[in-house]
Amino acid sequence: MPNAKRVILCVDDDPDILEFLRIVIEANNYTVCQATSAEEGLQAYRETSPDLIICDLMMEEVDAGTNLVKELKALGNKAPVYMLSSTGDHLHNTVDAGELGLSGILQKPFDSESLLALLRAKLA
Amino acid sequence: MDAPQIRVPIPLERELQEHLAWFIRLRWLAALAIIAGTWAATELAQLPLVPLPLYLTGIAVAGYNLLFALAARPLQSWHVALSVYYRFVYTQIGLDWIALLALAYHAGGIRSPVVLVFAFHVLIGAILLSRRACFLQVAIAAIFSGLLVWFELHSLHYPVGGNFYSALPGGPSLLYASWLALNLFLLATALLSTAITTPLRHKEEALVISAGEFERSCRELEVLYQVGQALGSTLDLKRVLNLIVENSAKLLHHTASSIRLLNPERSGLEIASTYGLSAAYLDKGTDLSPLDTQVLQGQTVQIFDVSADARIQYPQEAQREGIRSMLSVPLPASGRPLGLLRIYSGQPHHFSEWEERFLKNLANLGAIAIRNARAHADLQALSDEHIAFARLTHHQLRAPLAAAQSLLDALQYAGPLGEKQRELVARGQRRMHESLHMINDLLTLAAAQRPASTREGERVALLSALQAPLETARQKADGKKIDLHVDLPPLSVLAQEDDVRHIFANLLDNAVKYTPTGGRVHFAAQQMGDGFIRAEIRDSGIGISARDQERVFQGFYRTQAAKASGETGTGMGLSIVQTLIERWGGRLELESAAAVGSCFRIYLPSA
Repeated sequence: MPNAKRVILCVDDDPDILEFLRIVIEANNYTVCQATSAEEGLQAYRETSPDLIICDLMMEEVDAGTNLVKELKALGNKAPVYMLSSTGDHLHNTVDAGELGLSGILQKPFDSESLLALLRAKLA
Repeated sequence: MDAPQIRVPIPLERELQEHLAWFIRLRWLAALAIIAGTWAATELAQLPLVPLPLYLTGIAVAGYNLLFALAARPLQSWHVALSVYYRFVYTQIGLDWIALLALAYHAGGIRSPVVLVFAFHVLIGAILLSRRACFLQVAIAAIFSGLLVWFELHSLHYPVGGNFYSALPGGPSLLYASWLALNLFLLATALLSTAITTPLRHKEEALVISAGEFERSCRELEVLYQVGQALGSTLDLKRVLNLIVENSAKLLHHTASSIRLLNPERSGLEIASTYGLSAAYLDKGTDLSPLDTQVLQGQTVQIFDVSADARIQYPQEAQREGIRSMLSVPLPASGRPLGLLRIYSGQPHHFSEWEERFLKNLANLGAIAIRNARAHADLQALSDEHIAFARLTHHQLRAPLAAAQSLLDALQYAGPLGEKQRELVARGQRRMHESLHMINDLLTLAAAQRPASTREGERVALLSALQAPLETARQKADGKKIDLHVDLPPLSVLAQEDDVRHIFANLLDNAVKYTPTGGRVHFAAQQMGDGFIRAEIRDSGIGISARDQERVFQGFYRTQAAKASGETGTGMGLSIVQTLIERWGGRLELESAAAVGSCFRIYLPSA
C-alpha cells in the first residue's frame, strides 16, 4: 500500500484526542507519529520528516501551538500543517493562518470523515 | 485693594460723555443768542443798552466754547477717570456763570429778564450732576444775583449809558424783592427737578447693578451647563476637568486654576488638570502643604497674600509665578475629599462669597465626574474579569466533551459494531453535540453582551460575509427539498464580520431547520432610505404563536412546536441574535403565525 509510507505527525496535549487521531488515521493505513508537547513535536519532526502535521493550538502554554508552527517554518518545512482549534479559541488567540503558512484550521470536534477526506486530498 | 468681582459699566460716565457734546452744542446756540439778542435789543427795540460789552460777552462764550470743543474730542476717545470728566464739566459751568454775570450786569441787572437764564444751570445740575451740585448752582445764583443788587445799590452800575430800569419806581426794596423772587423761583426749580431726577437716578443705578448680576448669573449658568453637559455625554474625565479649570479661571477673571487629586496612598496630591500655570511651578512636588491638609479636611480656604502666609509651602515659587492670592475648595466625597480645586489671582484679592459659591459648584461637578470615571473603570475591570472567566470555563467545559465525542467517532475504526451499539453511539454523539452547542451559545452571548464601544465597527460586505452561512443553508435546504430563494444585492453594513455571520447563520439555519420538507425559505435584503439595511428571512415553517413571540428572545426557551419538530436547539439562538443586532445599533422584528411560517426582519446600519 503506498499510503503506508505516509507519516502524519499529531501534536496535542490531550491524550484522548491523540488516541482518536491514531485510531482513525492508522485504520486508514497511514503511519502516525504522536507528540504531547511542542518540544516533543519538534523532536519528532526532526526524526521522522512527516508528510503532514496536525498540531493543537492551545496546549499547556497558550501559544505553544503557534510557536511550534513558527519553528517548523523556520526549519524549512514543506509538509502541510493543520491546526486544531476549539470554537471560540480565536476570541482570545487570533491566529493568522496565512502568516504562519498553515494549510488550514480544523475546528474541534471534527468528524473522522472530514479528517480522512482531507488526508486523502492532501496526500494523494 | 478690594477689586470688584465683575466690572459694572458706570452709566454716569457714559451719560456725561454723551452730554459733553450736547453741552457744547447748546453753548454755540447761547453765544449766537447773546449776539443776536443784543443786536435785536439795541437796533430793533432801541433799548438803551451799551452793545459792545454784550457783543464781547457773546464772543467770549463762543471763544471758550471752541476750546472746550477741541478738548472734548480726545477726552471722549481716551478712557479717562470719571473725576476728569467732572473737572471738565465744572470748569465749563464756572466760566458760564461768569459769562452770565457779565451778561446780566450789562443787560440791566437784577430786574433784567436775562437773569431767568440762571435757571438753565440749575436744571442742568439737576439732570447731569448730583442733588448737592444742583443746590450749589442755586447758591451760586443767589450770590451772583446778590452781586447785581449790590452793584446797583452802590452805583457801580453802568459806567457807560446808565440803567434804564432806574427810571422805574420802587427804589432798593424793589431790588430786594426781585432778588428774592428770582432765587425763590430757582430754589423751587431745583427742588422740583431733583425730586424727579434723584429717584430716577437711584433706580437706574439699581438697574445697572442687577443687569451686571444678571449677566454674571447667566455666564455662571452657562459654564455650569457646559460642564454638566460634558459630564452627561462623556466618560472622558480629562475633558470634564479641563473644562472646569479653564472656566473657573476665565469666568472669575483670575490668572490660573488647577485640580489636584489625592493619590491612592492618600499621601500626596497628583495634578489632574491645570490652566495658566507654568511647568516649572507644577513640578514642585506632590507633598501635602498645611494649606492642602486644611482643604482636604473639607474647608474652603482663602489666602490673601501668598508671600506672608505660613500655610503656603512654596511661597517663593508662587511669587515667581506671579501668584498673589488663592482660593481652594475641596472636591467633595462621602468620606475624605477626592482632591482640591484652586484658583490663583495675580492681584492681591479677597475672594467674594459669590466666587466661593461658584467654585464650590464646579468642584461638586468635578467630584461627580471623578466618581463616574472611577465607577466605570471598576465596572470595566469587573466585566473583563467576567469575560476572561467565561472563556476559561468555556474551554475547560468543551475540551473533555470534544475529546469524548471524537473517541466515540473513533469507535467505528476500532472494530466492528453491532446495529444496536452503532445506534447508541450515535445517540451519545448527538447529546454531546447539543451540549457543545449550548456551551458555544453561552460564550457567544457573554461576548455579545460586551458594549459595542469596546469594539470598532467596520464595513462588512454581506455577499462575502454570508457566503459560508448561505452555502450551509443551501446544503441543508437541498437535503430537505426546501426551495431556498436568495435575493441579495451587493450591500454593506457597519458591524463586525463575525457578528454578522453569526446573526445570519443562526436565522438561516432556524428557517431551514423549522421548515418542513418541501417548504419555502426566502432571503432578501435591500437598502432603506434612513441609513439602514433591511434583510428579511421568510419561511413556511412551524411558526411561532403570538404568546411565544416575546419569550423566544429571552433565552433558554424553545416553543412546543420546535421541540416537537425533533430538531436540536439550545433555545438561546434568538436571544444571541437580538443582542448582536442591538450592539451595532440595529433591531430585529418578528412577524409569525403558528403553522403558517415566520418572517424575521433585521435592520442594521449601512456602511
